[in-house]
Amino acid sequence: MDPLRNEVADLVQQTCKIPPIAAADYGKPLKAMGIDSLDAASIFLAVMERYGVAVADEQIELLNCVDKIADHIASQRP
Amino acid sequence: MIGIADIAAYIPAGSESNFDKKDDFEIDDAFIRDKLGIERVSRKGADEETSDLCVRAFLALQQRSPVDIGVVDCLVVCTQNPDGFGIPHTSAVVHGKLAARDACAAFDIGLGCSGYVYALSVVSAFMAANGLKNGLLFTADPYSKIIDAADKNTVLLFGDGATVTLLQEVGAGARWLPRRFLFATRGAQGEAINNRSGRLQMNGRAVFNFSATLVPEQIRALLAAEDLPLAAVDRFLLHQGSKFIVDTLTARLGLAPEKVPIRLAQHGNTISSSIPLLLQDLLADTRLGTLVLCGFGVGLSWASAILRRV
Repeated sequence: MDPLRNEVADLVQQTCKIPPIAAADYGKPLKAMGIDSLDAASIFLAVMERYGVAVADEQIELLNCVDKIADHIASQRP
Repeated sequence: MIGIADIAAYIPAGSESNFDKKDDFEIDDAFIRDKLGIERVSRKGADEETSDLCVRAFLALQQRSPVDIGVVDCLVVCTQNPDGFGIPHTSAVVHGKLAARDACAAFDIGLGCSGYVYALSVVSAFMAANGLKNGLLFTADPYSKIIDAADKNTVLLFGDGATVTLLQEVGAGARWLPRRFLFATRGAQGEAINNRSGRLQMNGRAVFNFSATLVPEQIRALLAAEDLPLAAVDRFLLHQGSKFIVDTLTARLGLAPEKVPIRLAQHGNTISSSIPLLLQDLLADTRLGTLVLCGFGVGLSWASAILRRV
């Protein structure tokens, strides 16, 4: 498994204080894990602070699972 | 030196339940209780003006600390939603309704969520510089005047309310003294909370990012300037934007939750009134010696202060 995906899963889990996310669930919508819009704001702030990668407002709805967030980071980080 | 003698508040009896809006906004009980922390938002009566909220706060003050309006020599209102269209200034309207004397300075301060901290500095310094003895600092910013009932970002958050802080000299009533202030502004991001269209608009994510990053930084700088560790502060009175933002700031500063009071559930975010609403409950607690206040929001503007018990 891509280490970045594991990092993002850990980041989401720690930011939102949810149970660990299994690799099989990296494609599962965050909303289905009980993550709401406010939690999402925390996640994307954490992404910005950790990876220096911004997420525009219009991208938030699209980056709705661990896989997609990791892909976004991989494509944007310096 | 000028400090805080007492604080009183008025929360209108009218309110709207956020539980009644669950279907409209696709939210649940847990979101209301654990994230917003706001079960009801207070709403002023249709015939209540901003100045009326101030007058009601003053009447509440009379129940706590009777003040002869004839000795009040400074009367300030912090608001961005004044009576009518702002002329005359709301402080002058309040002055008239309270039948204060002519020899009384009256002016408005136009700030939002950082307003109480700013106004505390402005008014206490103004009073000290001009030998004034008895000041009334009102906060009253009824956002219901500009709220869009269909806007999930704002209608679930903002409630109406007013406070009045009695400012006097040490020895004449002051119980808490402001020790040090820090102020900051990021006007380039001011559109994040605006009333350009006659209706309040807020980019909640932009406000969250601003608050979560810059507020802890300022509080740490404030304490460093006084060589004061976080642990030496008895309570952190943070602007009550939502439970989520207060919880976020508590975590990012590494504070014990019991040091960060939250008072939102029954009235919502009351803008510049949120900090004095917290403070009024703590003034008489002699176990407390050092408080930090921090207001942040519209502007974008943020301001922090240390208060010390006299």
